[in-house]
Amino acid sequence: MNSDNVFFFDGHGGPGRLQFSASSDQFMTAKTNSVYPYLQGSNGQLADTVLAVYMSCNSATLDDTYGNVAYQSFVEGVDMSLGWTNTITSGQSDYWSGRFWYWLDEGCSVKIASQRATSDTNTAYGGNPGGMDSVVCRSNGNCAMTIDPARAGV
Amino acid sequence: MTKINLSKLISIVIGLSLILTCSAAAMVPDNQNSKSLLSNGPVVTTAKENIQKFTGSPVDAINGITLMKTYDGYVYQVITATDNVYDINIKTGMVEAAMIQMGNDYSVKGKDISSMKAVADAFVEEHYTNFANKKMTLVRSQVIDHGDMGKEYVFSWNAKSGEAYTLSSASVSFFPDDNTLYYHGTDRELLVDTIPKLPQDDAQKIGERAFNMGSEAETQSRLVVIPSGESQKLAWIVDTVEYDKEGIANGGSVTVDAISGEVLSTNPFN
Repeated sequence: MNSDNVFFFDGHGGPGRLQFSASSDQFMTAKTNSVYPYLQGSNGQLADTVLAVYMSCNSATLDDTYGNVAYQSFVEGVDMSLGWTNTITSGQSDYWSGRFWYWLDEGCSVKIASQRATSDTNTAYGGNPGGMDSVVCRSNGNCAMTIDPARAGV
Repeated sequence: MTKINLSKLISIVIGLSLILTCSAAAMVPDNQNSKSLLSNGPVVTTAKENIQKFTGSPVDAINGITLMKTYDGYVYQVITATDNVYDINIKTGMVEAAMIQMGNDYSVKGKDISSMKAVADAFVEEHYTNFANKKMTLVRSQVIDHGDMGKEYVFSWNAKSGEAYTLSSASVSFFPDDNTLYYHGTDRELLVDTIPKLPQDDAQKIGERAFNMGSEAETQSRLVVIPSGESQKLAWIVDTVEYDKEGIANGGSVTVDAISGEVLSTNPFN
């Protein structure tokens, strides 16, 4: 991912892991382990990534063995890593992501885009955010950076 | 154990995302705004009037207006020159969502949660027209930690009819670090009887069957009124979850008609 600035995962996950197959048990985990590929110790491969969004259930929840995906992503060098601390439903998450990218495209910071996407999801779903209000951002600052205009190569 | 091949990962993720997006597309509202309506003079004028009714003060310049679909209709989403955002119901003219910088009247900086609750009460009583008449009850009072995006303080109310949560609800969220406030309020006339024919236990079994849940499933449900075209339906929202050996949540949310027992929609976990 050396030259990529934005990374977006949309799929199943659990505390400390993301699932990469619909029917089998193929995962990527946050922390080093002896079973699955992992993020920890990526040797700077993620350092050029400004934003990573891990849109899955509990992607910002700590597991004693596998770690915390959003947090580990930040530790590995991603400027801003978004995850969720609750289960999230596919209807609301799909809607949320559409609104999130829309607000980023409008020039909002990641923080404001996230807040507004959650608000829009509440509006669209009659006050039921489907867990999307459990979003967490890990960064060096307060996730107030924008990604538009793009900063590739900076 | 080898480290992950990230280039390979990207292609897998893109493929998986496309599959999930396509499969879910039919069950969600359109999440794209329409083209700008800023050149539509009557719409701009009406929007300004509606926002002024809500805020009680003249509206600054408007930077953008688009049409946005919701679960029971459409709103104009208006962005002002001071970067406040208002969602206005196109049928009623009511402001049903607001994302605004807090003025001195509603500042919560440095306040504890009970003091924030008092501010939230004052805001919702002032801005939700029928708050007292609807006999709204507090259903949520929560602090959400968004990590480096700060904390959010959420207060939500809902009007009930018998045991059913109706479509009339309100919420106020504070982000004290940013001095911002998010408001949502919908006021809908109740159009259906709220006594279910389908018992709650039966609804939960129907919900569990919809996701082929196992014996370890944790299931809960609530009786709600939902929009149905120009009318409404009484339904059970059944939330069921079961974790597999890898900690992945199976299940989701099922909407079951509380009169007929029909499954109206399913919304699986991501």
